[in-house]
Amino acid sequence: MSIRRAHLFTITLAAAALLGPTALAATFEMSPKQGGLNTVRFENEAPFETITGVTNHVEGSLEVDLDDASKTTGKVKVPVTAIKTGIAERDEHLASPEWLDAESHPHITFEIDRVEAPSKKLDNGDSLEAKVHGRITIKGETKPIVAATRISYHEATERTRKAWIKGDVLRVKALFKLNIRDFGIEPPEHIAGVKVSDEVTVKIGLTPAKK
Amino acid sequence: MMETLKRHWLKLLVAALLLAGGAGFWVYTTMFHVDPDFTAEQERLEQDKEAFDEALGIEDEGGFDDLEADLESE
Repeated sequence: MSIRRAHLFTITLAAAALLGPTALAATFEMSPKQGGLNTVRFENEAPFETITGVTNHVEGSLEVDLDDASKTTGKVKVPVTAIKTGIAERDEHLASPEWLDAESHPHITFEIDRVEAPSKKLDNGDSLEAKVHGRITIKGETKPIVAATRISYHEATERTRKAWIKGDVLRVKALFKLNIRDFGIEPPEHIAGVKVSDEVTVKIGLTPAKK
Repeated sequence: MMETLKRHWLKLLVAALLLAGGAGFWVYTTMFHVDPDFTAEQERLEQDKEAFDEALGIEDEGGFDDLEADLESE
């Protein structure tokens, strides 16, 4: 091997070592077209019932290294006007300036900063528990949150390719709590006749598909 | 006035009950009654997800209770 070819070989090895970890990351995407495979649910406890808002209009992507889930990054967003309670009066209240102010702040976004996950390779059917640290932006206010999360990886089957989506998928389930006053929302005594609490539980079920 | 009230008390009571019933029905339908189309659409989406899970071989992905317990143990 000539000196020049040896240098080229060394440079290639160094580049592979540097790029190796990122080269293993795959992009998994979510879109409103996936319907019920992606759900974000907000629950607020009221004296006589739990007020629930739900949306399946989830957009975003995750960069996941299946050999090391702690390297996961990504961003998810939902349009405020897509959050429905099943009661038109409540939906109007929710989108109003008093609450989420859909006109000035049309999206709620969540961005991952850091993932605490066991060092474990995710093979087909494997799952792991993780703590996802990120930032959520509601009504223009950004606050840190920690979500208890379960992530599993599933290779596509002939049936899923034909009827739903082509790629392999992740199933992500996450739960976190937030105080609506942290986002500049001063809950009125009542919303459409029902007294609400300051704490909201957010339950997320996602099925991002490999690009 | 009192004589009229005494004579027509039953009619007045029925009218008051009808008004209260109407107001209660309005409050229920506008503030508490979940649109059946919304419920049906959510059920359809849930069934679609269950069919997808079955096709993918996901039998039990676990619920949110465990995650909530994890969060509260922090």
